[in-house]
Amino acid sequence: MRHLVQRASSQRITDQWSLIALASALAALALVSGCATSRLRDARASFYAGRFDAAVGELQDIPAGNTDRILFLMERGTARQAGGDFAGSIADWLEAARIVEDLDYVSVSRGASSLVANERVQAFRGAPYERTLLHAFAAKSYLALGQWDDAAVEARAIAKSLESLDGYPDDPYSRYVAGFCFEMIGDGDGAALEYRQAGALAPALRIEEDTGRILPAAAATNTAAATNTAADAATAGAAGAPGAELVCFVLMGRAPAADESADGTAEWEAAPYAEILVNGRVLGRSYPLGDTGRLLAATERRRAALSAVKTGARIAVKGTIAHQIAEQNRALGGLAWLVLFALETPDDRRWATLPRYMQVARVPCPSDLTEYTLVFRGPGNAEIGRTTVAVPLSRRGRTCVSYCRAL
Amino acid sequence: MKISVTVLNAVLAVALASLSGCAAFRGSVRATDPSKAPAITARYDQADLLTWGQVAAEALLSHPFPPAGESQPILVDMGIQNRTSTHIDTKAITDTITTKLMDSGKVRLANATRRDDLLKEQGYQLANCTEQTRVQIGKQLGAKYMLTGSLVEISQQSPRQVRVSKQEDVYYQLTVEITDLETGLVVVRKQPDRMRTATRPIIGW
Repeated sequence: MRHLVQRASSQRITDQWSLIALASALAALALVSGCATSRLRDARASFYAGRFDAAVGELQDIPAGNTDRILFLMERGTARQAGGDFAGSIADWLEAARIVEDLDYVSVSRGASSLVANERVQAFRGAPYERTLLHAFAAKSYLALGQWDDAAVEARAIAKSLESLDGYPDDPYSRYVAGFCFEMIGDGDGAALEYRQAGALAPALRIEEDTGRILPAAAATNTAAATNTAADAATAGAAGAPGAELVCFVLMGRAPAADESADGTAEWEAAPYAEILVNGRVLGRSYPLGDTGRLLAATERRRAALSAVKTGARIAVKGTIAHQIAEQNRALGGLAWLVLFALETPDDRRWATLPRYMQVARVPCPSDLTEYTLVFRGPGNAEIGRTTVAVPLSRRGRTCVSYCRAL
Repeated sequence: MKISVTVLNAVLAVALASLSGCAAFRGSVRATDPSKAPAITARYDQADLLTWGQVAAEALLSHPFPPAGESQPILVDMGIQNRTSTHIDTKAITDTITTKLMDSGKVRLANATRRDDLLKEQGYQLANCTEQTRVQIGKQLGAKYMLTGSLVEISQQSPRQVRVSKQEDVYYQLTVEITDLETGLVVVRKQPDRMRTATRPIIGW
């Protein structure tokens, strides 16, 4: 009898230790499964409040080995670029691109962990369109610094990343940026190829291969393009005029957040555009080439089947683990079930400081241009806001290059 | 005193691990010959810089350059254009080539700082000036010849398929030319190149 009591007591102690060990293991799993870090959230909030230095400060120290390291670098690069630290943004994005390349393998350990936790334990590499935009944004920082050859290096990286898309969406905006970088180093053939491909992806526009000039297609159905005839006329009228030209990359709105549909954010809905004014005169307008909402939606469609299979496998594995534990100890099994399924969260990691709309304005301008005004217009040509841009404004020959981010 | 077999095995395992693992877990530094260091990737590295510098300089001088009768003409380095998909410091390549040309005692080199000052005066950087500007600056520096060039890359990766490793072929071709600033004719053009294949596993820990 005494012997049986001792055995029962010993069994209880073993169960308690098992319970603690399991709880610790699951807690550790929950920690590494990558709960949305508050630093990223705070940094994004600072960025969208226009506090770029604060956003950079939030992301100053990136923990070594963090699964979201690329995401940190993507976000910090955007904040640095918006704050005018072009060299800093380049450093961040090149580092991110390098890590993306290093992570181009299947990790057995993280793959196994993802089967009992969630996809967030896998290192974030970014969606293909985000990886392409890394190069497109880095190219713009090089353009801002007047480093044309380096911008062209990024253009080649863009072309390379869009070479084998394997069902993922192509990006006319990145193609246009690449074409422009080639144009700036005098590579007319490379520029024409990219402009042609950008044009094919944006049927509402006509992009001239040899000049990169953008006009609405003759049979354009784009509402915004059709309504702003005054600005179109200004662009078309000055098209043949010799003189300086301003190429402005206009970025508006914010990429759809994790809990938002890919169909739009209220403030920047219905594809807004920007008019370019110098000394009160409208020189032309921007035309839409990229939309991160559409890129995201197409990416998710492409991933849907694989994602469903992985989720199904994970649920099966979790169910089996919980069942096996429950067979030994019902309470422990229940706890395991609870924790394992509490970990079942979707992987919604995204480069959240990306703009929603990516447009390009290519307009004739005074040769002594030092600043210009952008007037943002929405549905019915209603003015959403305006800003004056003096930096960045680099030039090569008769071409002035600039960009603007409207939050 | 009895020592259980399990304890003995554990001690033995720890001892073996300590002996075999200590070197693996210790950092080390050692000097390496840059020209003989094995390549880690198929991309541009220090071996390319040294090899191309050497090969290009030897090829230019054996052309023969400078032509007979010209005693130590002045050469101005106007940069090598990077036309690859990697950020390569092509200035290091021209520096290596020009150093070897100068070491030969057959040419003199225009001062790079003076060149950059002249470019700056005209609102240019070496990377973004036109061919005309290069010639003009070269003449202003009193140079007879101008060194220019380009570096191109062709790379290919194995397509998506069932495999355990990924193969990447990277080909670089360096074109170096010397132009006579008076006649505008290219007097020497050489094209050292190299191709390297790298494979890396697509499954890792």
